[in-house]
Amino acid sequence: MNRTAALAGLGVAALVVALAAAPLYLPAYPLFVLSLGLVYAVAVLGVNLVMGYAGLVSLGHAGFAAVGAYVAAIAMTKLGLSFWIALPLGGLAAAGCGVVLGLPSLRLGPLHVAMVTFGFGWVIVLIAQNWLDVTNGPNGLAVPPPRAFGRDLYAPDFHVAVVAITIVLFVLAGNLVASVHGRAFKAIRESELAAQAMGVDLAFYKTLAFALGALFAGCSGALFAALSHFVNPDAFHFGVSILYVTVAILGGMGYLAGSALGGVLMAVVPEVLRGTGEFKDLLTGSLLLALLVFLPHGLAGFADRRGWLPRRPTPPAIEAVAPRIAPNAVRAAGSDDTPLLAVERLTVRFGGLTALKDVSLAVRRDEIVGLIGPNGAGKTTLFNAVTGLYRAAGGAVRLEGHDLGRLAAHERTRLGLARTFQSPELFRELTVLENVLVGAHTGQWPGLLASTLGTPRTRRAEAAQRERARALAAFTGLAQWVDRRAEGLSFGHQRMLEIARALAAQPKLLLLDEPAAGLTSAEAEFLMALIRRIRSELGVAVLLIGHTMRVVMGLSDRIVVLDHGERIAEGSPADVRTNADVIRAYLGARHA
Amino acid sequence: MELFAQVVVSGLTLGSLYALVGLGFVVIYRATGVVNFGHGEMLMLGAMSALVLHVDMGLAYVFAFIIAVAGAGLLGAALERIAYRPLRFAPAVTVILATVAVGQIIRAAVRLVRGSEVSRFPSPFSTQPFTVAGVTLTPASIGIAVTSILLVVAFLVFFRRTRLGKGMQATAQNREAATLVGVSTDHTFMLIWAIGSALAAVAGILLAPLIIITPDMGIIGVKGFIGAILGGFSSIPGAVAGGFLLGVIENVGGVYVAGEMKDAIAFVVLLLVLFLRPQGLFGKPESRRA
Repeated sequence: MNRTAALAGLGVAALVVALAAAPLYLPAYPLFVLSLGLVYAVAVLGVNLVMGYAGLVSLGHAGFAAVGAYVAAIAMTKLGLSFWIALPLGGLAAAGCGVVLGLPSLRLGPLHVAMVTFGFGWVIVLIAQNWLDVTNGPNGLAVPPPRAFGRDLYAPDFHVAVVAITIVLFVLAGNLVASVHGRAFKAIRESELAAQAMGVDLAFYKTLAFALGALFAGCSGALFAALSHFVNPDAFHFGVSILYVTVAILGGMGYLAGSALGGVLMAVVPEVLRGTGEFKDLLTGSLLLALLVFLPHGLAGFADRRGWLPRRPTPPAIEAVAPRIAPNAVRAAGSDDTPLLAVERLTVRFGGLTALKDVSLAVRRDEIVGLIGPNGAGKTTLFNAVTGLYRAAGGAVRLEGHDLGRLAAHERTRLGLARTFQSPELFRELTVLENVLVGAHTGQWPGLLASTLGTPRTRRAEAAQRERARALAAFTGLAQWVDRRAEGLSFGHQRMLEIARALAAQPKLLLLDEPAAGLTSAEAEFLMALIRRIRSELGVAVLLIGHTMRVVMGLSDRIVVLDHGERIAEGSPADVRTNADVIRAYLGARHA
Repeated sequence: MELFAQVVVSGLTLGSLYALVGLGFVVIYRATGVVNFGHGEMLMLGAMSALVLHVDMGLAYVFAFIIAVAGAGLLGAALERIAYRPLRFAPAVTVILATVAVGQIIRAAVRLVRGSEVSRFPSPFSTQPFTVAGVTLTPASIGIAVTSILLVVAFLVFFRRTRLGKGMQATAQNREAATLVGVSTDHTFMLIWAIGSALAAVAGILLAPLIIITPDMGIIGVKGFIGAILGGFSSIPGAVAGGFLLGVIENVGGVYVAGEMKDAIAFVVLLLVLFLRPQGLFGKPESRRA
């Protein structure tokens, strides 16, 4: 263990002790404010999960907290349940609301989701104000103190409970965001297109983000009810939702420490600014606007970009050995005559425009097939239809004889298709290693619960996958850049990272969309050697779109030529080069 | 039956206002791609300024109207310059939050100046009710509906026929291409925010006699937005029709739902539309190409 990490661990331990021991040195009221700050931090963490990690938007998070608070309060007062049951009940009720609100986000853009969540927060307050029989309206509900060890827990004792619960929730969230599932959130945030191409189920993870974000807010609400012994609608109006978002940004979206800091500031700052209560909303609004313009990554993000945050030490470079990268590389090659990929009379239309018409082609195992054609011939459209980003209007795509039918993009990745993009679609703010790890999303990973609990098995799986990802990075010539953010790579390295990420999915067929475009001649040489190694060492077939004739002609066993959405030729590189139709398509009729 | 007719007619009056508010949303959205969450607050500010000018300072209604609307327009232009222009290339979420922040600032500032005092605003039209075929109307409600409809038509013509309007649509569809053919994005955006904000102020002043004026009246902006979603955000006539429809739905539904909970109807409508037909009743689905 290196020194920085040890110091950081020591600092965290000291902080935990200082928080738990606060009743010993803080008077009653400041202690209450501190407890409140921790309770807020849990809700801010929920906002952070939805907005910071998954890149979605929630303007109604106070509504989730209200659901948690009221459900817990009603469970305790009307049903006589213990707080320790009411707390998870409140959290789960809020999570249920989160699932329902998350559903529209599957089909809609951020604008609509913003409005739906805003409307939710508003309706919850309306219900709390008007459903007198249950909520007691604006007068609110008095909440009895929680009980533990045979006595009522008031401020000093309950503070310790709040500290413990907050720490547990933060640790669980920390496990989750560091796991394969947390990386899926970040991948969606950075590029939905690339995320689904890497096998991430957008619908599942977006819904999950809302459910978890709401769960944390609901727990915060229940804790709030128990801490203040009272709930009323005022504590959850729209301004509170905006305050959550503001302090989440202030602390730093995408940083757990940012949420903790933000929550505490949310409770402490108004106390410091006492007497200027009238200005509170004005300050919040101005602060939010200033942060968006001047400090969008917040305090934690600022510190991170300056290199002030402790980092996990990087293990020494690793040798790229094929078995480590593709343990299943030895496949039943040539055991039957079914082509690996068979595209049969595929047709794609955009409105009235037919982009692909009755195109057929096949790729056999251990084959490198080139796909060429003039601009607008439909090459990328074919890729998109094969990988499931576009719906075909007719025809079929078969992988190992199985019709892919209407399978979504992420399901096709699972079956063995992986691709790169014409202009690199990397997860720009993630490191090279993390990019490759998202590529491995369809591999063997622990489930959601195991990841959240951080079981030893999870750690082992994560370590094994990291090892493999580093080997893949080395295989594609990126060994020394593994900890670099993808956005900081040179263009050539970005192309290699796209290939490494696609290989991480352990595909049977790799689809490369103009991998040589924009590369220097030295990089193109490396690329050609790499593609040959991908076939020979990893046993992966390649379908390759190319403009750079030297690369395509030099690599391909067979070449398929498209023009105006139709297949006009197919054959060996030498045949295609002399084919009259092909020359006409590229150079015009005069030259044929 | 007469009750039903009455409820529908009142709903249409309310709906004409939602349509006007929704128009403001759509105008800004179509040109800049931003849904302005501060629209309701701009509306409130328009109503508040007219109230101060007309009632407190005794200015004639027409002048109060013009000054309040022009003031909102200027403020809109200033906000574009200060807040939205630096964020033009930021993610949509960031811009949404910026408009939320602006709304919050306006609301808080007004509350600081005026407190949460509740005010009433006189109508320029008579509020003496009269009855036609069993349905009670006031010249005020007719005046509001007619003014709203005239404004909506004027904007339709503006977008379809004038050079400036077409330039705005071009900017919305493809910023770079619009710049290349000589549309100045900076000026266009500033103008759009000015027009959108002025439109909000007009809606606020027209609305003012119908409801009580408080710093929180901006919530009506949400209704305008929901109306526009209901009709279809991609089309101006659709968004306007949606506003009218929402007014009627709310009023008819309000007969069966008690008191304040009536406000929740609009939200239920929003959720239903988003689940069942996200492009709105009259909108075209957005073609999704990766």
